[in-house]
Amino acid sequence: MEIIEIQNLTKKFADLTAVNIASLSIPEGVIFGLLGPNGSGKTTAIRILCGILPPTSGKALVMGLDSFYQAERIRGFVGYTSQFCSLYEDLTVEENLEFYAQIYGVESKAKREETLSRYELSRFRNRRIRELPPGKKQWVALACAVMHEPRILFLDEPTSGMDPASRKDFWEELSILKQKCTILITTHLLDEAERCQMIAFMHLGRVLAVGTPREIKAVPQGKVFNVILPDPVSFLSELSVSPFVQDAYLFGNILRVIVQDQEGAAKLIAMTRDRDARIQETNFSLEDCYVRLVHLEGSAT
Amino acid sequence: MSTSQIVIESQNLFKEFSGIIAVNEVSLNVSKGEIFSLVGPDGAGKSTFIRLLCTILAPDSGSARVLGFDIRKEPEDIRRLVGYMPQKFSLYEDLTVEENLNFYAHIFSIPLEEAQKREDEVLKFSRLAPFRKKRAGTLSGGMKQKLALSCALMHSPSILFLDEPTTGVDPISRREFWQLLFDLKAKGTTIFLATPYLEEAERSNRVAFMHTGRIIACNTPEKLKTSFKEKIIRLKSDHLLEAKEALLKVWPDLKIINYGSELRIISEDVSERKRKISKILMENAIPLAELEITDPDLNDVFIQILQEKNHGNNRNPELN
Repeated sequence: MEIIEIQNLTKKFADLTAVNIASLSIPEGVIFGLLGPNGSGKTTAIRILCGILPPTSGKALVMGLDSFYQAERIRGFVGYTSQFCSLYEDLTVEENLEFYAQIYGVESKAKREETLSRYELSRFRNRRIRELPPGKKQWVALACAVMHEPRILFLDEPTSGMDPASRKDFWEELSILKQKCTILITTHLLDEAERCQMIAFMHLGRVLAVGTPREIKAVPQGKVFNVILPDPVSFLSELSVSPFVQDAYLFGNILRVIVQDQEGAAKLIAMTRDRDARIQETNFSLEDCYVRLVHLEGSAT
Repeated sequence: MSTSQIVIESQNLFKEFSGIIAVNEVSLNVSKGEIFSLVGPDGAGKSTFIRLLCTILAPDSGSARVLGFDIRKEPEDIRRLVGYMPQKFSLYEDLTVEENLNFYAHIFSIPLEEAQKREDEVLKFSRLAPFRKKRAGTLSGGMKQKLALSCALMHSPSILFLDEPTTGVDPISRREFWQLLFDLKAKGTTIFLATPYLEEAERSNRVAFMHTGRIIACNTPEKLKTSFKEKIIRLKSDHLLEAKEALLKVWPDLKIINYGSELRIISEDVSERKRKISKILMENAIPLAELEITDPDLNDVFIQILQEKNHGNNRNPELN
């Protein structure tokens, strides 16, 4: 039994099926990344796992217990930060921590102090949440969610709007928390997804793929090339009418081209001749895999 | 770049707000048809710099020309020719897509007949035509961004300034949004954007890193990455911190970052180092899931430059 087990889980809001997951298990101690467009069911799935929402049908087990109907028994082991900020905007940093300390039954004041200083929040303790920069708020939310040392941490888009340096610090902290805790995190950034042990792509409530980033990148058939040449735009329009090209798009100064096979690769190389082009074979990025899965899904329905 | 007509030219531009320096003597040039990204932490001065160029704010000192016009003396000329999509773009949520576009046509005093034509063009371009009667409030995040872009395009600007255009937007919508930017670029529009995401910056032709009001590096993404002399070894293991500890015991000065479920080790002699790492981990009975050499990404480059700045030694002046 894994720490999180989902079986035939659905959640409907009126006519809308927000979540429809046949099966998903998350082993203990991993950082698990959940990716998908807004409205793909990530937040709803997390709310079911946190015991906030009941499922319409199927099962979500957290530590072997039903996440909704046995929520009372799980609550103390779970931490959650919401994408819409689970903090009280008109309370100070310290008051928010006190509030969560009460909810989770953390009596020790020393623990609160330790958490404040650990996240470098001590000098902000008397500031109201609404006066904090967005990046800082996420640190307060994390502090509130981990004070009681949960075994599972649900983080819904914690790094949205965070700058590169804070994101690095945040992920550094996750690798420390992971020692004692399983982390389920949602993100729109594929470089963050690369740094999870396992990821799942969600789309229209369903899980399209799940595995390690390496496993997911090994699935698509085809060859990927980076092409750098003087006039990428006109070359791109030629490629877009070439049947052997599966996908081609500009990425900064680089034209990324995906072809079916060796034969397609040979044709591409022939086309770049006399164009003063540099061409280099590379690997599928997670973004390529994601876009492809969603397109396959789109053409199947 | 075949044509290098300079359309943005900033010289020692400086702006402070009651003693806090937001933009500190920034000089940079942007050529026509470039996609140029300004990346940096919150408070680095990105938005202020954009607002100076859009003539929403006036500088304290220094000068800048946008499309040949002086930002101090000829702001009206600049405003006619540039489009600006701020971080929190105001769409009227209870108006339809079409009505929002009409509103912006009105603001820019576009004659009614022309506005109608332009609206069709813009909707076709952004692929929002099927949704023209939908209320803006009911659109998805990605579509709202496309509508905001469409509004900023109504008066056919030559330069488009975008402040964090895809923050909170999913990868597929982000790619679609960028497709639109590349289409604009192909028509000769210059795009200048601010973003906290290096993933986004990497899609630009040139990137400038901004920190405490200054530009600390500026080049193409490729050159920024090759300026990074070291390579990266990625290590994944269920026992990440034990692995880090074991490696630091052997090499106390090793540059190593724990990043989620991986360690990133920054080193020059990576192949030799990689061999030794697997040996050390084996001796310590630490199981290894993945160990591979990769090129640095812009995140690595940015963090490295930032650390050098903070330590006061600018090892690599060629970046500027």
